[in-house]
Amino acid sequence: MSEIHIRGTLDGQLDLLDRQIVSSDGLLIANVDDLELEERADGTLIVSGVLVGPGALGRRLGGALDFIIVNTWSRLTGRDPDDPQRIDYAHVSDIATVLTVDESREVIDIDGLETWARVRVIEALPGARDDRETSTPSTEPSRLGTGPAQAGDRHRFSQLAGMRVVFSDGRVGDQVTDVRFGRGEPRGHLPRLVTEGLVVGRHTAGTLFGYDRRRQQGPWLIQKILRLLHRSTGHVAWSDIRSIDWDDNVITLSTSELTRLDDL
Amino acid sequence: MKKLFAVALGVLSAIGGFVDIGDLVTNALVGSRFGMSLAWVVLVGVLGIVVFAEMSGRVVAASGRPTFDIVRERFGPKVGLLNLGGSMAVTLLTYIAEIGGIALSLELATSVHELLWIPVTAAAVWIVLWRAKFALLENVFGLLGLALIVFAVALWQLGPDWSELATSAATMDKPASEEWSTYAYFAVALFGAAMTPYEVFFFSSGGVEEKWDRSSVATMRSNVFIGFPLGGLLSLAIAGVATVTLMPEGIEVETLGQVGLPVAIALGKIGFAIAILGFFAATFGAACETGLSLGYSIAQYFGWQWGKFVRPREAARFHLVILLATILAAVVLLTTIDPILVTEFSVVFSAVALPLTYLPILMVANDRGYMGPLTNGRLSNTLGTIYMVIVLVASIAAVPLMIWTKMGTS
Repeated sequence: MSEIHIRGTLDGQLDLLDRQIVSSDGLLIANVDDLELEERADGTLIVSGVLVGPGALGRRLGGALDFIIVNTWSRLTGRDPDDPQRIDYAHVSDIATVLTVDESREVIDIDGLETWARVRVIEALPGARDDRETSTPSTEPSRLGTGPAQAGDRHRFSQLAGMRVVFSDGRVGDQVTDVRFGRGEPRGHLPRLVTEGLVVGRHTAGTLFGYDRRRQQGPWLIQKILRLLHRSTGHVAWSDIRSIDWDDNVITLSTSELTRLDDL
Repeated sequence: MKKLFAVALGVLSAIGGFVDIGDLVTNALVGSRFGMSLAWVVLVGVLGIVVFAEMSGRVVAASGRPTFDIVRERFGPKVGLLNLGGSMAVTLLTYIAEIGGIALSLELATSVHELLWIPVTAAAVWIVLWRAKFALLENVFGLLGLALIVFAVALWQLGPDWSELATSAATMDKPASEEWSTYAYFAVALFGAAMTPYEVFFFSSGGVEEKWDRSSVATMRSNVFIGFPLGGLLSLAIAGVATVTLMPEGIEVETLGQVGLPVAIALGKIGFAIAILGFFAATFGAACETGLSLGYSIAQYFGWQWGKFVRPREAARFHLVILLATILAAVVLLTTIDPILVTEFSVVFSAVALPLTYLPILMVANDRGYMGPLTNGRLSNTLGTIYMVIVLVASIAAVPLMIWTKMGTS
């Protein structure tokens, strides 16, 4: 059953980021630590992959933690600090409260720390493997990273969320708190996720309870408090974006105001 | 019939598993100093844990997602990491206190010094977490914990003036010798002991271990709605016997032996032996729950495989966390720190950490995308909101009160 179980549009922060990733045999693999976005010729971005592991998570934590985690991870794995583990979107077979991928745990080389802990500590302890014969790890390399050829520049979702917006009249607005995706033609098992618009608000990306978007969500007191905090939040259609400056983290719009989220 | 048996087993385990070292020590201490005048806090705390355990159980039944999955999704990685750090510090403190509590129970039973028992108990807890099946460790210690009913029997045998007890509970009648600030401090400590965050981590992750789905909601509710309040009655009985026997003599509870002393007075050696068995089961069971909670929460934040429903080699990092936490707990206890003191700290800091756990659960229980037909109704939301306010007040007041009253000694 390959399907996106979330109705309507998907919001990156709210519906995808930090969700659990599960293998085809139901075991836990990793969390969605970041999303990889790929530029297309028409100016939209698609979700081309899911980034996992310390190399992706560290960047989102920022500051000293970013430096320590990413560099430690890079030293230990021998990977480039800017090249975190990725799972191509073509291998994502289902999106619900968890993301499911199309391979079993046996063939997925999850994480260096897991392998180290298993080989060096856990399997060395008595009682770790008497209930079944230890299966030798598959020598077949994981295909999760492979997918359709790269067609444009790739960026991280976490960089786009957090960018400042500048209106057409030159006013500097708030920042991008979420990115809204619609469904396009298939890539792998699922319709590809194409950017449709931005959610812009005063507060940092990370205030993601969805209270700025869903009017009916209770309880009453929390809803009122959060909606008050989010009262400046609005939406910009992707077609109203004039340019995205990935070096200075600024998005220039061709409109001079935001649409209220309630009016969508 | 089989279903009925399963429900009964779950309820009985919930009763016996409700009390841990924090409840034992705090209730006895409060009973010996304040009588029943703080009993209302136990009632408020028990209702609170019922509300939030039911909510988190419903989240698991609807979505299969345990607490720290939700904390990270709702708060994002930065705030989620702060939350993880705070919650895990408190849970580790509780884990240390529980392992110390097992050693103290064994000292009571054998007269061998507690420090000699610590390496043994830490190793025993680890072996159980490493090898025992989840259902086994949940039910065996829960059922053995029912030995604590001896406190209720002792209270009945002591034949107190029930109307006097009830009056002091209903009027919140503080003894004249105590300050209001101390009263407030112990109110917060009792509340923290009743609502300890690990209970929710363990409860929700345990739901995943047992593969709950929508059909499990009824069973889950019977455990929570019947088991937890009856477990709370045991807490009140512990405070009650201390009120009747220790308070008139001016004895303040400082050791685990003094917690059991009223039972010895009422029922003699046999009663005391049963009480020790209850202490052992309650602390051992809670040590398992806190140890697992440490592994569960860290693994859930990072998305690692966790749980006892897979073999240890498939959840290597999860078991590594538990192993390291157990070694650390033993090392801390071997510094000769008093486990009762660790317990007093753990219940106060539990109160501080409560909003970190309960706020995200309340939020996600309102998310239709997650919950579908099991979304919070009006009753859950009203109670949940009231408790958010109480929890916030307790959390903010805890540390100032602790400093102000010098941990209740002034």
